[in-house]
Amino acid sequence: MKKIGRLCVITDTSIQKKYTHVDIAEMAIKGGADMIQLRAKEMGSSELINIAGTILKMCIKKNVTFIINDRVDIAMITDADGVHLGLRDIPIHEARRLLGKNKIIGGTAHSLNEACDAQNDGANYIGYGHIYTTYSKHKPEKPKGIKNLKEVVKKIEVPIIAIGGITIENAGDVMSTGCYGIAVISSVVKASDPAKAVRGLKRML
Amino acid sequence: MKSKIDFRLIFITNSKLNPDLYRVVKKACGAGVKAVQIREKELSAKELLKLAKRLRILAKKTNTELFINDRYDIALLSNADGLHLPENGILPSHINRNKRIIMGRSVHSLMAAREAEKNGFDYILFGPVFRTPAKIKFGSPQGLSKLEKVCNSVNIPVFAVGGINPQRAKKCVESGAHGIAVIRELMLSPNISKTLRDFKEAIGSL
Repeated sequence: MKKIGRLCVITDTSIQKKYTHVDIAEMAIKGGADMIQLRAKEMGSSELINIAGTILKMCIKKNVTFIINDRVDIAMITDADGVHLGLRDIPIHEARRLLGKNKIIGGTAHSLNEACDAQNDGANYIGYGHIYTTYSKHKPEKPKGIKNLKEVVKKIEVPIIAIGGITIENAGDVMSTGCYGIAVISSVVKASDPAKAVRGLKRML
Repeated sequence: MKSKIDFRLIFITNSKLNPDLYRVVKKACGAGVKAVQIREKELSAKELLKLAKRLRILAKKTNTELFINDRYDIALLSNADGLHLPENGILPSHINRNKRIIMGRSVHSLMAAREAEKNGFDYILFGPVFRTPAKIKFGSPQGLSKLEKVCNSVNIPVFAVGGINPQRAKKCVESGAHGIAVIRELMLSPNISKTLRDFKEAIGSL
């Protein structure tokens, strides 16, 4: 299994239109991200395969881990390093049947209970959040905050990757909880210089 | 690889037309449908997998072939017999065909039909042949003469789709189509057994 990254940049073309998925991946890798997650829910399979193939090649060159959101089939076809599965995606244990134990499967959790479920279901890491107020996704729930994150980190054995509203200003606090890493969208793709933003976050880890 | 297409009618689901999908599919299978394609674009992958597994058990009982639209992962996990791809979907070359899975593709032109055959698809769905509310936004229907042209140009089975009722099904088969695909006519049918009998009478077999 490829190493699970500590600074994961999620490609997003819904909250901004300036950069493509490939642009974001390229800048993230340049800035020192060690994991890229391709998230393109609305895209057709053939285009996804092309884009995933392009990003995977860039990742291999720099030894960066590459995972795909939701689409287990596209990860199989492109031989990506793994998938990230949300609560409405294919269950983790089912995805494991297709991907085997050498691929990374990450799960999403918004509570300690959900984190336990993901762990029991075989997740290799858990994306936990949202920690702070975020504009990347519509979130009806309140942010979890540092204290709650700390508790989850203490009780869950698999690596916890914190997500949601993480910026260069608060990344230090987040990492002080003992969490494994962070995942970012807005603070990178909305930055005037995304590669520089990634470099800044990297220094905080 | 399984490539023998011995069914002539593909029932494509759309739960927006009738939310009681399980009951509709059960009735259709019981009334002799040989192929069902689950096409539920609104469902999350989790819900789709759940539905596919339920319908898999159902279809097995009547030896009905089960197809999943677009998602290869869901097709594998639900043990579906086939995968039906939209024009922007995956290709046979992308996957390991030893896994005995039938692969079909939707096409909307003669060129795309030829390409699908070249790419190794087992059958194609050509349409919309007639006017149908679901495809009005894409402009005029293709018509029977285009269908005939496509049927004469490829050596894989062609299924006609779009506004198909029993009378039109007969015309499609007379134009050279191997079979037809039906959504609305079955999803909205007040009497599925009767509708299927009418189709069977029109095209010879299901």
